[in-house]
Amino acid sequence: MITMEEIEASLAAFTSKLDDIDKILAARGLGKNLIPVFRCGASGLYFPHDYVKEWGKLYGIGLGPHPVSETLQTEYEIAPTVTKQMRSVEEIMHPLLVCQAQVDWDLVDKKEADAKWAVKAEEDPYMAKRVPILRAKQLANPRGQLRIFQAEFARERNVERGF
Amino acid sequence: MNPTVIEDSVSIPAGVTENVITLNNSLRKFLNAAHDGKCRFAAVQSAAGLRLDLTIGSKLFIASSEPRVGTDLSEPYDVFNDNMSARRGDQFTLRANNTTAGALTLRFRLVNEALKEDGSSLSEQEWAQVPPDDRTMQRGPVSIADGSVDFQLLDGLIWERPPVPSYLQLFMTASAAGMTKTLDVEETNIIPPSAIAPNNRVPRDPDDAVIEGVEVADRDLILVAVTNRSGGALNAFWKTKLTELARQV
Repeated sequence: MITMEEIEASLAAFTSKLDDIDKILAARGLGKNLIPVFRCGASGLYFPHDYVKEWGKLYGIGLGPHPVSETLQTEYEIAPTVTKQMRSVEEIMHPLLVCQAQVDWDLVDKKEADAKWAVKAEEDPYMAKRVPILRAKQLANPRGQLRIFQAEFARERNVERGF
Repeated sequence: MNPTVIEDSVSIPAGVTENVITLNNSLRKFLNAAHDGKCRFAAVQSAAGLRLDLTIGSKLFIASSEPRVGTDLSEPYDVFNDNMSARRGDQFTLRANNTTAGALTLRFRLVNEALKEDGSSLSEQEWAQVPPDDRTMQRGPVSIADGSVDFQLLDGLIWERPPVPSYLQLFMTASAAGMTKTLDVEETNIIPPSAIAPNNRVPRDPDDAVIEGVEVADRDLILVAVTNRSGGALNAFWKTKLTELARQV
């Protein structure tokens, strides 16, 4: 039968070593430069550590009361629309959606985080920064139908011009 | 008589689409009302940026309105307007303005329920007995800077002054706590400064209702104002529903 005193003694012995463990890790450079982030479950991109605290103020405007990811994804299931008003082939693309995936707290290396920060929706309300990134992904993705639609768009415009 | 249901998930390119229904060739045969009926319209968008207008025949029922962001269209929460009358042959015109640089998905449902069991047309006397229509606007997010006092949400919008005597129903939410709202009709204060529910979404009907049954004479000014003293910018979401006091024939 283990007594309460023995449990406390074991715990004290263990916790007294934690400082030593920290020193060993620091000496090897492990754990340095780690920063807290929230990771998007769909894209793997990172949001700053205040993502949940500032929900509805700096992040996730209009996405409901519970924090989710505000990164944009492509809806490949829905075909691009081509209209007579379109003037450039650049306007053709699959529609985008806010993925609303789960976000998880994590500690990651600052260099890694710097390479994978998500573009904040609040700073890009008209998607001018995000659309070129996602359109390039749509062109590269085999599920995308952009190339077919672009070819059709060019053919139709050539017919209209009498070529 | 079965209702006519026009339902689609469609990609809306950047800029203005004059009639979303015509983007789908299969829906063209439903472009005009098949019978005299009452209509309802529900929609959600895949990301913020779409603004919709719905006209039936020559009457505008939904003006400059923004849907909730989501992929799950659900009634009654996402219904913009469930009280719009259509006469046989009236054209449905759903205009969309995509204010972003990319394409967005609009999921919508437009239902026309026949007023007569056999789907036949109503006489002029019967038509005059049909319950009056609603006009709705819903917007958000509307950014409210810190320190804003009495920021007017309806300023310059089409139904800031209703065209006919109407009952007003107001819905509101905010992106986070810290704002207050007021409602005035001309010089009469209806809602004194009071908190706005921080539900961070385009208002749901009926969950986010603030007040209903406010009588507004035609051409009276409706003032929905918000004040933000939270210490940072916040966003407001609102919806107004104007029910005509009497049928406009």
